[in-house]
Amino acid sequence: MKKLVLGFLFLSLMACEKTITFNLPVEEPQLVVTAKLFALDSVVAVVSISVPSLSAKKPGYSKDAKVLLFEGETMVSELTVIDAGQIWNGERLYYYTSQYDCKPGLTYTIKASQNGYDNVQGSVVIPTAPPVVKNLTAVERDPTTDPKTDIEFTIEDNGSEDNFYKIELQCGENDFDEYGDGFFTNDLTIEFYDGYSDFIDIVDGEGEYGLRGYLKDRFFNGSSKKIEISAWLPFEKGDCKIVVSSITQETYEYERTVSIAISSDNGPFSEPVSIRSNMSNNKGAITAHYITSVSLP
Amino acid sequence: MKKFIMGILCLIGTLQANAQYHTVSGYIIDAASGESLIGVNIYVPGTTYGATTNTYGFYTLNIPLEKVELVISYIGFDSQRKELELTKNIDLDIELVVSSTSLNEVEVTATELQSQSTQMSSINLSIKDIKSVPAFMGEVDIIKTIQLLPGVQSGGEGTTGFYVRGGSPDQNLILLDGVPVYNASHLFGFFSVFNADAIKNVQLTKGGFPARYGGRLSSVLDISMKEGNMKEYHGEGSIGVIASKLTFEGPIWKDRTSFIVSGRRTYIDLLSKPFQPANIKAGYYFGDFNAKVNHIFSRKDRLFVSYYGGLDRFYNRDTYSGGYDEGELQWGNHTGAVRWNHLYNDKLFSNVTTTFSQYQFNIGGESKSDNGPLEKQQYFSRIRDYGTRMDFEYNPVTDHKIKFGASYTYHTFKPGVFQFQGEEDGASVDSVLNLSKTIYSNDAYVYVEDDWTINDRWRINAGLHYSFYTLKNQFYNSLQPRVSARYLLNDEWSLKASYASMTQYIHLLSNSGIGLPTDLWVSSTDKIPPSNSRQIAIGTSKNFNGNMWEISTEAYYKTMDNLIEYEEGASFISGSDWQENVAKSGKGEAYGAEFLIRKNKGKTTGWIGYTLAWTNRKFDDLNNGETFPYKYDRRHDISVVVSHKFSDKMDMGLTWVYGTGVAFTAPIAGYNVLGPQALPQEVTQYTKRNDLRFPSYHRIDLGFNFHKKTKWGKRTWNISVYNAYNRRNPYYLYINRKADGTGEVKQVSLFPIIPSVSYIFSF
Repeated sequence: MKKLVLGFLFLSLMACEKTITFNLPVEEPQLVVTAKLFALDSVVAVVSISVPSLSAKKPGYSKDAKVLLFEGETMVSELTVIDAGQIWNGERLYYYTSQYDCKPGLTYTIKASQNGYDNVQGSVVIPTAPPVVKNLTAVERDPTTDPKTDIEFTIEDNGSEDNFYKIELQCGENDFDEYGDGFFTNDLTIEFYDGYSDFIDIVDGEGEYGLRGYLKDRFFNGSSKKIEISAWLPFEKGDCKIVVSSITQETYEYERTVSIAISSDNGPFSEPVSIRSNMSNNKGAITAHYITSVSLP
Repeated sequence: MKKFIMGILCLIGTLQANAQYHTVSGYIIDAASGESLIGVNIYVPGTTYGATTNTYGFYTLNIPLEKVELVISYIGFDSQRKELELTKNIDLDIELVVSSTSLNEVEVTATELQSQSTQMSSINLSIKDIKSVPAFMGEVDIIKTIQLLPGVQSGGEGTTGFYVRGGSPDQNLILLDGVPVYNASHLFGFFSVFNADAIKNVQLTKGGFPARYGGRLSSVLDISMKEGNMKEYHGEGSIGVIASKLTFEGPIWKDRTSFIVSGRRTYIDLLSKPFQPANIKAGYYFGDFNAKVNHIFSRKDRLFVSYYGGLDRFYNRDTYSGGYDEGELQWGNHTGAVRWNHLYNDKLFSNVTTTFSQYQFNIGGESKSDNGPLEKQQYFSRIRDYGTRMDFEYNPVTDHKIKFGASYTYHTFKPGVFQFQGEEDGASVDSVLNLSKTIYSNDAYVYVEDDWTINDRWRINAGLHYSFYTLKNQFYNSLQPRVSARYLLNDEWSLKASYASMTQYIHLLSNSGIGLPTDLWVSSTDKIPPSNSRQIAIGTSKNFNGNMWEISTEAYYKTMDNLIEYEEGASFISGSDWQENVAKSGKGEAYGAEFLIRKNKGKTTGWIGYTLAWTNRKFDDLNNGETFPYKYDRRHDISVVVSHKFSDKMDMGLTWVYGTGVAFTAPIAGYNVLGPQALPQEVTQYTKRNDLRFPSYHRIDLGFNFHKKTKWGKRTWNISVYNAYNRRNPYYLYINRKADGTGEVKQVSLFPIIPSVSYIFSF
């Protein structure tokens, strides 16, 4: 009887799995460029070689690409490859950088080429002005009972249409290596697309939390927006700063979709995320940022 | 409301002028059980005077003649002829007797001949139809039978989610005795919540919606429970491989009051108990309970009280030295209805219904170790409705059949609540985190429709449905015109066309689309407007060979707007309000053609259905803003359903289904990018959304019934084989990494060939 029941359960409830021949679209490896252009500051890029999804290879970082920066139609810089001295995802990491100052309001194009691959390019317009951050205050609560800091500031919108802002709370010194200090706000007009940090206490309210907040022009009432943040700072207050960036819509869409793709991490019930791109091969992106950074008082 | 009703009556009262009509009206019931019969035809041969019984078996007929012969016809029952002298209005209640000739045939109950009715895109299934389809694991299933109809597609292998004309499952209004059922699935959709033994009739409307229906975009599945035998006590039941059920019915007061109770429970948990380790208690079961009582106060008043309750429960308790871990997942519906039929006079019939419906999903856990505190977590979502509805049927003259009414529903939505109980730093913590705010809303509509026989050939059903929906600081309303027209080419062949505009104020957020219990019912809000659809359909239907055969074909075009979907990457437990996780303002389009040939009489009955369909969606925030195929955009769908009665002792059923594979999105490449933090990240490039297709789906099911009369009643052995040729149909595909790192596409199928046996008895 026992065998009968087990046999039945096995027969009726087992999942049957088999390998099938399915013609997944095969895409030849391509150059993938992601470049960040900072107004009046540097340019940084990563060049990767894509791999087909059935391939055993991992996508690597290229050090052999030629990456050119154009201002309008004029080539203004060739980006220099730098060995980051790190292994990322099993591959040696290389950056491409340029110290060329991208000018607000101008159009820049990144063109990349490498032997054996099709050339790629993409363009972006640098935001015309940095965000105006005012009235920044940071008040520590009682460190023994509630070790959080209440931060307030305002962002002044410059009045042009379709502005997007990125808000970050950064602590530590290394821009690339700071770990994700999140923040929490009751301002529902701030959108978060990535996970919250362990530093954020979420039990005490119905607000929003995350590592980076995004704010759209349409959320401004008038021209000024007051932001309230509570955060459990992992550093001394003086080692932390509020970083607000004016970003383009393409930048916003790219960062939004990458953040969602990373945080959803192929969850069993999550729909696949298509990452926005403004590059010619629809992979990677050229993004533009005009940053205002203010240390906490 | 009173003014509205009086206004309608005054307006249509003028229609009665200058005519010497007499009214014949009454109830038609099954002589053996006293059950009212739905869709019986009553007509005067050779004229256009005719009527059909409504859901409560009531009909009314206005005839401007002094002497008539009435024919009362219902497939499966002996027809009757009544000669009447119409010098005054006549009350004529009729009892029909099951046809003795039909005992040798498997018959299908047909309502008003398809070719005669204005209603198109609608199909009626009796419980006989449903029980003639092969069972799955010994369980016949209403929704799986519905999936065999043209224009209806299943959500996936073995599931009870269904998709009508390119719509999503939440666009189907499923009514059980007039009460909405929000989750019609047991065991992740492999069984529906409807116990076939407690059901009398099922009607699916896919388009050409009469004005009395509203609140959903794509279909109305109207399921009527049995009322209970008014004459004598009866029971029936079955013992199957995974579930057993028992139904008992009979009179409380003969010919006045009857009851029916029906229960069903699975026993996988009980069977698996002996095989579990001592420290583990784990299992799963589902169960249903249906009950209904009805009482005839007088010829003019009748009351029905019905209830449905169902529950699915997974549980697991792992006990170890010094503590335990416990987890539980459960979901279920409760519905209740009180219906009062009142006959004001022979021309005006009313039904007043008060309803209650609730669907709740819980997932929770509890753990305790020797030194640690007791910790409990629970997440739940819920929708709860209280409602009332009034429906009137008024037949002032024989050419006009007018229906009007109103409905009000109070919804409470709790789309996601997380509760934590535990201890932190020695202090007890009990937190409730409303991930999404509770929403209360008022949902109401009024409607009027007229089924107007213009002349021998033209008949039209025109109506208006006005609905409104209010919640805090928000008001939505919608005027929805509906019209269906029929042109009769001859007695058996007609052309039809319809237009229907529909509005839906509540939505289902689904990650899977197959009716998982985690799907969230949510309200329209100030950020999420209601969805709308407009559908036109044209078609023709023909009955021939003494109505033995019926052929119909329809083409439709439907547009939808203000649809919502989870944003890419979003999931049901997101840590934030659901409104922040949805893509809004979606547009949808569906079009196609459906063909049905159906044999209603004879030893062999059944149908062949074919659907050719396209459906797509467009959201600004999905698929880079480009139009993409809907997940269940299946180009071809074929179903063949055959029942054959060899003798009184043996019959069999066969179904074969074929469908184009469902659409899916696949990874095609991987690459590295700079993420928002300027750190490199590996990401995946996918095909365009739903750009690829699973392998096609097909299978054949067989069922054999062996009947025998016994001293105490009748018993039947049912032997069924699901997926008889063991087709490995795809449930999902994934990329598997081999030892050398290369990938291969793997297909997971759920059900191989599954034989089952059940023992069915009735007394």
